[in-house]
Amino acid sequence: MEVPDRNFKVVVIGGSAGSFLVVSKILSQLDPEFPLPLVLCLHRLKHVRSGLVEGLNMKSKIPVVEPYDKDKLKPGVAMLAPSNYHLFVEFDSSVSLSTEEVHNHSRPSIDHAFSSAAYSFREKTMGIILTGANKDGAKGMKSIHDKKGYTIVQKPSTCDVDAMPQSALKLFEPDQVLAPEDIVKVLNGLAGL
Amino acid sequence: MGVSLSINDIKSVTNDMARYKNLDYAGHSFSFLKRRLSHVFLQLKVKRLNQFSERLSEESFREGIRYHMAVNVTEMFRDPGFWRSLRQTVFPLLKEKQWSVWFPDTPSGEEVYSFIILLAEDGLLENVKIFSQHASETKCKEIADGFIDHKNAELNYNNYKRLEEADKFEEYFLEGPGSWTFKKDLLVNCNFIARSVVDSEIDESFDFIVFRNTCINYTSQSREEMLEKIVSHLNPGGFLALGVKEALPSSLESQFKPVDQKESIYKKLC
Repeated sequence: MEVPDRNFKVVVIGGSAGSFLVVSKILSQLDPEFPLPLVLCLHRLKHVRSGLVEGLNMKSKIPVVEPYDKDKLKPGVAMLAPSNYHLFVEFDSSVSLSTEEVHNHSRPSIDHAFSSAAYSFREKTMGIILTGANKDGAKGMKSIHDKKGYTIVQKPSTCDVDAMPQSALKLFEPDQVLAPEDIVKVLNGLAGL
Repeated sequence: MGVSLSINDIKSVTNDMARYKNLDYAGHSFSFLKRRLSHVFLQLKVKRLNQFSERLSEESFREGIRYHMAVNVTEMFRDPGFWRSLRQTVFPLLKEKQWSVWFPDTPSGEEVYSFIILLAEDGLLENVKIFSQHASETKCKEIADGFIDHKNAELNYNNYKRLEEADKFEEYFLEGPGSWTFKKDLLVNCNFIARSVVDSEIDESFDFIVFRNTCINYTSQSREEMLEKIVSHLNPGGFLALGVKEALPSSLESQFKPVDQKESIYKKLC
């Protein structure tokens, strides 16, 4: 495990099946002074608007919010993609929401969140893909990799369902493949903006 | 593999498009334009940028752009909580007088059809005149003809059931081989107008404006300008519905009071 020596502008975490517990664990062990904006794009039931953000907030050391369209990213705040909306990270550090076509049967799509962050912040993007049951997120992680951003894939043996990490590993070689407890150590070692 | 558009390409394409009627997308956010133009290039089988610019002189090509630029993908009764709230907060007032309702940019017919079903179930259909706009004439005709994507039938039905105890959903549709259409007799009080919301210069004013999840595709500044223009056509005491993840711009807050903040329903002050 190594902590990258780089000033990131955003950390984006994507996950699907089984990821709620992993994200909850990461958020519960995060430094309360975590210095960067965090974006969470998790597959969720499209018709259930409440519950997830409240559940994550119960143990999180930093606030977790569902953004309104055009809200700005904030250091030390985790933004959770709302149900039934795609979330895109924009050049001006705002997030745009969209009701466009589902992607990989998903809205929000992890590919879209990762790719937009890569496009906006290039090498200053960190992408982390967690446990999940389909391939959404793999191409987005590759976008971050191609733009010289930093990529971490959850160690498949620690996943409830490893299809999502395995799909990413087929496309590119990430900077690190880590268990959740080591992902927390990396995040807590990151410098501010 | 689609065409990869740079920032300059997108600026050039949107400038070219804006010269034509109902094709001004300059206020849309860059990321939206990048995604949507890629989609348009793919749908219209355009492989090169100069091919796109050359074909802009053809009306049929421009109509194809209008059709595919719009996010024609939604679902009936999207956000059942919104429709539930609408029924509780706004519908009781519909009994008092004839209302005019404006959908300034109907991405597909599903929002209008959802609205009509609820009006019909509450016996209010005769009290409302609906004006629905879409930039594409083709899409406008499809909506007026009751066209609905059969693939969404189960999703639409499930949303309806989350909202409604009655089980009359199928009564509103005609089922054909592999297709559903919304019954046209339910659309008698609707006017479908092929007009871009950007190019709209209208004199009418309305009692209720439903403008959900369209402005999220604009830049922050254009969104604010667009909403200011839209609500200038809302009568005092009238209602405005935005998408559940759209906030009212601060410049408009003094003109409105929230009726249901969570569902983004606002009342214009008298």
